[in-house]
Amino acid sequence: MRLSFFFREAIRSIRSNVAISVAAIVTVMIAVFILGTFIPSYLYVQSAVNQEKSRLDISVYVADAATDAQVTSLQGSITNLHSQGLVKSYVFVSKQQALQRLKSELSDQSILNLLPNNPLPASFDIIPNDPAKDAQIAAALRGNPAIDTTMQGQGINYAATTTNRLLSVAKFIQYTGFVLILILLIAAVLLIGNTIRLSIFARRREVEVMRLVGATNWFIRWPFVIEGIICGVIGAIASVFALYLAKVFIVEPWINNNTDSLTKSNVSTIGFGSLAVILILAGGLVGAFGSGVTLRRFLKV
Amino acid sequence: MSTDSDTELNSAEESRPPERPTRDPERRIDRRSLLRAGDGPMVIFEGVTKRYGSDVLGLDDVSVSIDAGEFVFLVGASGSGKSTFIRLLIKELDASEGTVTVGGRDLGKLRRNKVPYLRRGIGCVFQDFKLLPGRNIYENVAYALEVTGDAPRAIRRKVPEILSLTGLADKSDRLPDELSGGEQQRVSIARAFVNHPRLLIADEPTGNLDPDTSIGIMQLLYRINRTGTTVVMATHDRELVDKMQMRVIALENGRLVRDERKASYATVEP
Repeated sequence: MRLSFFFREAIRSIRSNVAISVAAIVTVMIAVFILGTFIPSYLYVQSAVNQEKSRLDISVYVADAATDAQVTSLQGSITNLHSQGLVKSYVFVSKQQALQRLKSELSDQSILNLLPNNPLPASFDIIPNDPAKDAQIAAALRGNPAIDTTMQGQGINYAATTTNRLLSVAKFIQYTGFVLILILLIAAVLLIGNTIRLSIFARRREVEVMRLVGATNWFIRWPFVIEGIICGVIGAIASVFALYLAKVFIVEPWINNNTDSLTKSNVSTIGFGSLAVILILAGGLVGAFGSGVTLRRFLKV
Repeated sequence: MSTDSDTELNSAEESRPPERPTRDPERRIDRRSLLRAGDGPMVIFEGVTKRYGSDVLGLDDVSVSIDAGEFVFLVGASGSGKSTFIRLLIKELDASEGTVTVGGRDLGKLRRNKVPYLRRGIGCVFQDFKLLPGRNIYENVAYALEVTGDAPRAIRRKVPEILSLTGLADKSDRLPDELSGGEQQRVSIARAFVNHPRLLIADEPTGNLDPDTSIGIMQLLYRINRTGTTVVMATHDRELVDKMQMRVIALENGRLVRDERKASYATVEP
């Protein structure tokens, strides 16, 4: 019963201050739109970095001619490095498994049917504990007769400079991305708080009268908070709609034109549905918070 | 008066006083307002001084007592301390020294979050009416009841009642600025009285009105006083005070200079 009164009060105040309400809605809309483009981009880059990171393993190619004893001794050396703490884990990939893996990464598998036989070597795929120490691991294994030295990197393949660069980029993206999201959120709250302050300032006489007839602070505050939530949610819904249009007409065509059709990408980002829910919640929260906090100043008796 | 004001509540200082049937009249409290319903004085000022900043005196050592059911004029020139007196009564200000007691409550000890409940028991009328501009007359009066959490049905019953009592029955869907000054002041009085407060404070209620309209407002306040409500009215309308011959409390530079029953605005020369 009280709630319906507060709701009516909120609607009344939105209607009687159309200009300011529209300003608040547009502010939320812009802030949420920026947030809505930033969050998926950030998660996309994050996911891409993680995928690249997981590729930072060392491949040790085993020569087709290597004897079982030679392979066992190579495996022994790797186990040795594992017990020294340099190697996190390793797997043996047979020729057959290597072919399977290639198949799964190709979207057009008919190409493979053209091969007369399996050209792929067997290998040990080593995941290092610290990608920065790849060179040390490689040096320790070099010279083992099981290694196929005709392969890339003389049989031990890892990307030394790429590894280091990628690692520092990953860190940079993680930290700056987090800071940027934080700054954006704070900016949004301040902007909305400011707009709502305008609305409350315009009605400070009204608040004064309410206090004189014995309204408690929360009695005065609720309609403003509900008003903030309504404006926040409307603004967020509007920007979700705008984001949806951007996704369908700009982002998706662009991705389709620029992705290599031969490979499938495992890089992913947040789904649009969950993004929409997060943004609308954020809009409502920011609106409620903005008006609730701003009103404090006017409620000091 | 309505039957629900007969409900007795324990007047403890806690946020929600437990409901307890007690027959001790001194312990009774108005259900909505915190004001104790007793026969003692409604307002007591004891050595009240109010300083603004370090050297400006609003009130200077004022002691006065107003009984329940009295009608009191508070007179004096601008800056004599009338407004300070009024604002102390509704705890818009706190006394620098001395104690202000309203309805048996020491306002100095009243916690800030209890102030709204104090104000529900005190009707306030101001020179500038202080109506809510975007709401019509009905809504303005109803707001004072919404605040106390009155049931919608009770609100629908009480508001038309008070509007016809104040002669505004046909104006209920008008906005404040569509009414004349006198009518707006009637709305403000209707709002102040709709809760049937035991104390009604009027700060220069006729200050913006012409003499004929002022008399109408005065009569309305007098009728309210006759229902048992204590009325404290600050004014510098000499004619009105002389005509009414009520108790007069005169302030000058913050000091109480005169307190007479059945008196005129100024002392009569002997």
